[in-house]
Amino acid sequence: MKIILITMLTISCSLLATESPVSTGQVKCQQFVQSKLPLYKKLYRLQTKLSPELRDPDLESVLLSKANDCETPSQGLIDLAMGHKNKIGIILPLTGVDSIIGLQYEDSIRTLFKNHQKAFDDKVIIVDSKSNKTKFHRAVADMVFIHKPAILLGGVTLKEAKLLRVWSETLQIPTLIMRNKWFSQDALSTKFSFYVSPDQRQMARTLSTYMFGRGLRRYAIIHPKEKHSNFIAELTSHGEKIGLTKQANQSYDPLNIKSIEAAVKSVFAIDDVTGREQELLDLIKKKEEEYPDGYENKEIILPPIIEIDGLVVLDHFKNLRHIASILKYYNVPKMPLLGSQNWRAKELVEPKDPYLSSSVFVDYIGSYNELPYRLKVNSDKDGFFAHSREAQMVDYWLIARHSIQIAIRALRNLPVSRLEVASHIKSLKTNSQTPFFESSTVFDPRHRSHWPTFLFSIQGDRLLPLFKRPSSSNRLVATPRQ
Amino acid sequence: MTYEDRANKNQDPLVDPIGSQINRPRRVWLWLIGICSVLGLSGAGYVSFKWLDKIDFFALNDDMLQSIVTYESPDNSIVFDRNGEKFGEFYSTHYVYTPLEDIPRDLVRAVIAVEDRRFFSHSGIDVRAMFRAGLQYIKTRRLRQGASTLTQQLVRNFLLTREKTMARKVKEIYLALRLERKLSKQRILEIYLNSLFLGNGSYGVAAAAQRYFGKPLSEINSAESALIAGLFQSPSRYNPQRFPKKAKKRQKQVIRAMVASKKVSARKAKKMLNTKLVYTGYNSINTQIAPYFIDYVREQAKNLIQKKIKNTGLRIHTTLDREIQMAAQTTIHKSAHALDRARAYIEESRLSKDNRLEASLLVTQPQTGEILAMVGGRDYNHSQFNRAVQARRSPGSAFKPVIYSLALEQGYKWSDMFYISPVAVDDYRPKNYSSDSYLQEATLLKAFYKSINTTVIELGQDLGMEEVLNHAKKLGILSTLKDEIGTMLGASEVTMLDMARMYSIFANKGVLVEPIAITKITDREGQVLYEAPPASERETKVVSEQIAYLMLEGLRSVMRYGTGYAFRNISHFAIGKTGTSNDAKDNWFCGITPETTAILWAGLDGNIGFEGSSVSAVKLALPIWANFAKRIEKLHQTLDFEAPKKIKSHKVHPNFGSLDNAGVTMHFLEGLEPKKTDTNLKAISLSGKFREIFER
Repeated sequence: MKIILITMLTISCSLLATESPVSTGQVKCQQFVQSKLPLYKKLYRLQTKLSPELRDPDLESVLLSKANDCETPSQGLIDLAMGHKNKIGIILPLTGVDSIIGLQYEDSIRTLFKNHQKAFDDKVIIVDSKSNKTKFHRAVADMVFIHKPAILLGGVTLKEAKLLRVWSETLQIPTLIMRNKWFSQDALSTKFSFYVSPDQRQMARTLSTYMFGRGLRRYAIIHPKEKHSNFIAELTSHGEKIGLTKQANQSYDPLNIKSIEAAVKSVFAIDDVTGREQELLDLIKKKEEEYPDGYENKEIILPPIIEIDGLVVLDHFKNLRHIASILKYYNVPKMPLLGSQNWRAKELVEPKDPYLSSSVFVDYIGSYNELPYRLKVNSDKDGFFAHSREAQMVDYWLIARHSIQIAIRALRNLPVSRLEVASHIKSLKTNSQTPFFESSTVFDPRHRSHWPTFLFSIQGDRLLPLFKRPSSSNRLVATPRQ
Repeated sequence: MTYEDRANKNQDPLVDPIGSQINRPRRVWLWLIGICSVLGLSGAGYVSFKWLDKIDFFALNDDMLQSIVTYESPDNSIVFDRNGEKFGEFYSTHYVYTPLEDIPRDLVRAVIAVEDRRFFSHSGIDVRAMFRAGLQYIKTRRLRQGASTLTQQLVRNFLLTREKTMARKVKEIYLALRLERKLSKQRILEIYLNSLFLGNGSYGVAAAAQRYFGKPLSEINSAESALIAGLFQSPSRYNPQRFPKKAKKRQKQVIRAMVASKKVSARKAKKMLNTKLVYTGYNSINTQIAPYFIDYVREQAKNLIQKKIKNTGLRIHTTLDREIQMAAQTTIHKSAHALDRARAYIEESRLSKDNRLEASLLVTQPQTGEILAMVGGRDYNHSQFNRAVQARRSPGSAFKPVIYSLALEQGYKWSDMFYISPVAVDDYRPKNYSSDSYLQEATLLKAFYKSINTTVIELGQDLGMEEVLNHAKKLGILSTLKDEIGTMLGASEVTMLDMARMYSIFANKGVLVEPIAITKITDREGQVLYEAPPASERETKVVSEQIAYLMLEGLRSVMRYGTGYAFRNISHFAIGKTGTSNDAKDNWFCGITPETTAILWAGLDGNIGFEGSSVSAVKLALPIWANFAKRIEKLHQTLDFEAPKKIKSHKVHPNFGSLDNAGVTMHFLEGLEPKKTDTNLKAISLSGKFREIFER
């Protein structure tokens, strides 16, 4: 009897010792691990403080063993392999060519924590990408293997944003990319990456909606070369949908007066003799009669042909003023000029230019006196113009604070997995303490942050707020006069 | 014993004691001869009487000699500089009165030897010489041989014609005899030597010495004296500049006459003959120091006293400063190199005698309006056209202080910012000197010192054309300005005097003092015929002291930062504004020092410019002017412009108008200083971007 019991026990143990039957989920998980392993290995070697002898660890076995535990790949590999420390990891270019931007973001975040230094030290890790691609990857490696944040913030420049998105989706780390989603990526769905920034598309729609409402059905665009392509594309696309007609789209070199003049002349057919030969001859004859002793040829200019109701000028306020002078120079009658946030500076209206009166621009900031997240900016009495040192800084600060606040809120309930974090971010509602954003959810289905847009009109030496388009609405709401 | 006594004594009535000694027929003949003689003499006397009567001999009287007896040499009108030194004279005929005692002895001897050897011994006529001449007349029926004494020549010259007739001769003799009774020999000689025409417009030996030898009478030598002495007979025939050989021959005659009359030894005569005579072209004192100014003074004097100026003995006291004039003259003279260099830009075919490259300089004293120096052209001998006061030329940017001073008065300040873009007013489309200035910003001050045209047009449009024209007039631009936009850029023509008035206002605390060249005119005796009112009566307050000072500092910035940068090293005391008209037809520099206003113009007299070249006021006028400024620096008592009250200065960014320690010094009216310390434009200028969060 004893012998039989021992034999049965041995057989049972043997049976127990052998592997249990593998589930389908586990197989998928293992496959997932296998496919990502080379990437992890590569990333592992990029850590900045890794000593040489540890550059080739037995990562494989660690990960594979963990793979046995995962039910579905979407559980987040790192959660299993490494875990996270419930921190917020921020990758910024604090040195190098992009540091001017990175430092602004850092300042914004640090000052938010200025009275809570311990909390900052506990929760936030900032790593310098040094404005360099390789070093950016190293920063990611440090985050993944050393700091192990629950959520990543970064991507303040286009190149870093693209890289970060790839890491985010590949490593399944919830990431707040502090930049707008670029147009070519718009159609791509993302699971783990979110875009926290005003969106040019939203602004373009606001402007085109306004143009339609004001009756500016025909328009032309002039802009610096190789800029504002997203804005122009959306303006054109949305404009067509609602019945606007784009008559011309001219680009120019913003540092070259002749290039700008050429763009203006092209839009208005100034000095375009085609089909206007008789008109030119009549002009010459009139000039000869008026000045029989001689005149300068340059004084004979064919008048502009006006076939538009408004001109969109996507350049900063300085060039806008020069362009207005050029329009006057060529006798283009006063017409509405339309632009974007680059216009918004005190120098737009000082000294005042009557030609610019009733021109309109769209911005993602309303009054500087009503900014969220305790942002205080030195501005004029109405809050429409920030002091020059702060005008550009505010854009970055606002995005940075919005991002960090989202991250803080996402981690508030101490989520176990990064997947959970991502889910939480997706469903995050707008905080009632930040009416600025005025939407139900923080992000739209395509993971773009909701952001309001505002329309301002130039009136003499002042700005007049016209309309606001709340974040998740297509309607323009008139701004109450103060 | 009478015939009767004799007759009575002899008691023979028929006995003629005398006649008894002559036979009767002879007696009759004697009677006849006697009667005929008496009749002949009576007849001759009658005829003579009738002839004398015919020639109005009996009308001659001593009163006719009054013009000689009371002779006063016509006196040139003399022009004095501000220190009382003579530098010019006005005359239609050249007189230089010299007392007899100041006339060189050799010259006196030479004249007497050749013209009237027995002058001191005769009583007005030389009978021996007349007898000789009479014989000659009988032989040839012509009065060829000279027998006239100096006295006779004098009488002839003053009172009679020069026709060689007996009638004239008789009168001459009579009047000469009478004159000798009225005047002493010395006085006759003195008048003779000072009044007779000796050729080349000169009257008298002193004038002749200047005209022929270019020196005062006191400096001529014996040989020259002999030549001058020979001129009395025929100044045109013996003109040494035209007929040197004849003149030399005549001189020899004079020297021989001197030897014959023992006035000189043979040895000295030889020496005189061998002395080389050097004739210099007459260089009037008027052309030596300030010829253009002299011309100007002449016209001014005529207008002031409404009288003849020449040869009227006036004493005209002017404002000319000789040192400054010499500095001005030298400056223009030495500008030849710069002007000739510019000439290379013009095709030779376009240049002619009328298109000479010229320069002129006018210097006044702002506090008094006195004209200190005037150079109307490069070479008076070539062209007497006085560009300093007669030429009307376009001042170009030198006119811009009119607009800027008006703008400052109307509340603009140097830190106000402008966008530099092309500007059009109707069909008028002015361009800046360089299109590189477009797409930039500039403060009012920078637009001024860089001479940006488009800003002026914008300003002018804001201020109003009528206001601009009125302000220009207030500032002393008296020339009629065209009511056109181009006037704001200096297209309307003005004189240098106009510009001197305007710039003087800024140097004189906003006060215009009407320029003058003449302070006083008196006659020879010192009686005042005209006196200029003092500066206090000629002044008008045009702009405030503060505005004037702001303009001064604006002009200083032209030198420190702008078109005058090449000469910033003199900007501590010499400041100003360039001005170039279209195609550089006119190139100006209008400058100020604490004690002078100096206006310089350079260009072509004809309507030709330096098209297509880089010639401008900066390259042509400014260096010449700076040269002048350096020359007169040492003459200055004051080198500083005093800042008035209620003026503040700050360092300001020249483009954006914000306070900036690295900026340029700007001046402001108290209370109108800039406040902004930063600007978004600065950010754009550094990065070219503004709020481009989507493009990063």
